[in-house]
Amino acid sequence: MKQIVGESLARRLVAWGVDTVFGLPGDGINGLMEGFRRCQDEIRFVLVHHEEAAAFMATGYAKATGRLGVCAATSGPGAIHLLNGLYDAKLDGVPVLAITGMQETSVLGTHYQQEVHLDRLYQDVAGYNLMITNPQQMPAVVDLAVRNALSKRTVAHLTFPNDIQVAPVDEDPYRHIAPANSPATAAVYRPRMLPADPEDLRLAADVLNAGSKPAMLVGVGALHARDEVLAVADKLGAPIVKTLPGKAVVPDDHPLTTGGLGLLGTKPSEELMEECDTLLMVGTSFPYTKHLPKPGQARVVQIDIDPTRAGLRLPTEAPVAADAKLALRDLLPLLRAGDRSFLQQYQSKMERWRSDMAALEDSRRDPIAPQYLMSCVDDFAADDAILTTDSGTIATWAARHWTIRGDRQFYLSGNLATMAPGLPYAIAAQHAYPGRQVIAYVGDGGFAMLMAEFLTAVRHELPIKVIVNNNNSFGQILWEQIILGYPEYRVRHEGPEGDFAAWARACGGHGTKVTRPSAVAQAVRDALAHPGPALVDCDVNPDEPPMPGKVAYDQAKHFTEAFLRGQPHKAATLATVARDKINQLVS
Amino acid sequence: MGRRTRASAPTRILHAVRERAVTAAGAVAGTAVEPKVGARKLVSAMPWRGLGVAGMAFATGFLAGRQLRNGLLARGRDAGAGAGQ
Repeated sequence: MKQIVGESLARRLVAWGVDTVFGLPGDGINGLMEGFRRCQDEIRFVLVHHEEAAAFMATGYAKATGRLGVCAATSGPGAIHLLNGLYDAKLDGVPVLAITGMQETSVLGTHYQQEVHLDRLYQDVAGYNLMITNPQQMPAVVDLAVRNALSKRTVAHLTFPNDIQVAPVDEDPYRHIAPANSPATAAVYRPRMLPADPEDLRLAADVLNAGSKPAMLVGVGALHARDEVLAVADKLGAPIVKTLPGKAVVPDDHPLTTGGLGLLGTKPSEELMEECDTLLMVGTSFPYTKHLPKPGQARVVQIDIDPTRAGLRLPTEAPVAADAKLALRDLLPLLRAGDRSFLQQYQSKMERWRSDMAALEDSRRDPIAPQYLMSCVDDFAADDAILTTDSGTIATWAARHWTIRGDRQFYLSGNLATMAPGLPYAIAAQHAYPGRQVIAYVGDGGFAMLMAEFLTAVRHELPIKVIVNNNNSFGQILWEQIILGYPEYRVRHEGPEGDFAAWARACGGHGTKVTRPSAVAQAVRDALAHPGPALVDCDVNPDEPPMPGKVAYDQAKHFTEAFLRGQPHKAATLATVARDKINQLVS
Repeated sequence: MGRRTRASAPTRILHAVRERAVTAAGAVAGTAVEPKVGARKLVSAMPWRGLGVAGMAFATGFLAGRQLRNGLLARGRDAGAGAGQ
């Protein structure tokens, strides 16, 4: 049997070490599917129910493993469905290869069915983007696409017309005019572990050694540098603030950290950013500048692998373009031990904050407090569990009540902040780490978008655990509307509430519906102990506000205005806020 | 196409007063959580220029009135003096 282009693609992916492709077939990629069929012993094709989920899975796989994620979709609608998941990869800077189909070359430009010019559509999302028009381009363009995705930490896209997919790979249909043949390339890539320039480090050390109130802000680019981050922070006496995607950089219960920053962060982190006179940023492009020191307040050192990002958010005195681990390792000996009184002050503040947060994990609240649900998951999950989550109020509860300890990991859509990736991420992480506990902590809104993928988990016998924080509303939007100063509008579902536990059982998984606080802990324990896919659908209080760590003037002003302008559910919300305060006062 | 109806004057006044009250209540709540910011906003929200213009106008009017009154009184005194002589 002659090797066709589809097979050539699959074999090249095998050469690149790809063992999993997430996707959904269609008449636009049957030639590629034949290639995957011929390589089925080396590449697992994970059949999903929606292409958006396939792209999220590829993105989640790349986030969890640091390797290339690969997804495939058919021409036209299938490829369009991929886009949201691919933007998640692009914005969070992870390598993903998207493979799509295109109508055959003979009909392109004739308004043929499903003729969507994907190479144009993907122009913005992809760092490498090509329609293959000659079998001779294989496999060099696959090598280039993969290298681009890995080196630029972005999306690469290859689209294959139907006729090219099934063409023999050695076919050479055209006369060569250029003085060149198709390049004979290899599936090789050397990742950059860029060390810092010694001069840059000396300048950085001078800035840091001169400060008396130092702070560190670490992000996802420092996930592989936990020991180095801790060593530098310890030497400087600098509290460590973590971005949400960088939550796993250091353990949440470590005495050197003040936790997260921003609306989902902690009060001590907010105060630290307002007070520090020196800021060392590592592997982060934290976008919410209102939560950073005011320009001119602090001297800034920023370490980032990408030179364009070192200095992106603040006037930076000492930019260091380097790998975080290498740069911190080389910076450490240049630093003088700092005074620890500033750090101690923030350690005291964190004690109070932790006590305040624990007070909200109240098991007696009815309706169930979402903080309590998250704390149960936190208490019973393994020390190497992987938690994935959606965007929304759940991100706040996870940020504050999911404790990074041991080898725990945490993944969410950090910059695209899209709904619905939690479940596909969990499926991808479970494929990557079959032996680890993988939990998707999602809202009812995000889960409902891609809930068919629970069936995918059952069919692939993936023992993922799904905890649905069910407030029957789009909770984050509700609070955002209020904070804008106006009453909520169309953010709560009306009519019958869906029973996601029944859906889990209908799929052949374990499903429990929880409506009473007394049943939460046991339901979570049972789900985590279940050997297969399991889901807990827990009704939580929709009127529990995800309060910012430090409430600002405008937030309080607009909150009050929204209430006076006719915000519904006033009594329930105010009662919840009052109970939260009372719990914290008596804790 | 339906005709747009315009609220009556009293209703519009009531709405405006209520919006002012809502904004004021919001400002009080904001000041309660961030007193410094609240005080700063209060100071910056004061119509200083309007107060200045009104003050200048008042001072000018006051001085001009006094000058006028003094002039008239002086003339009266002169007239009286003349009549008495």
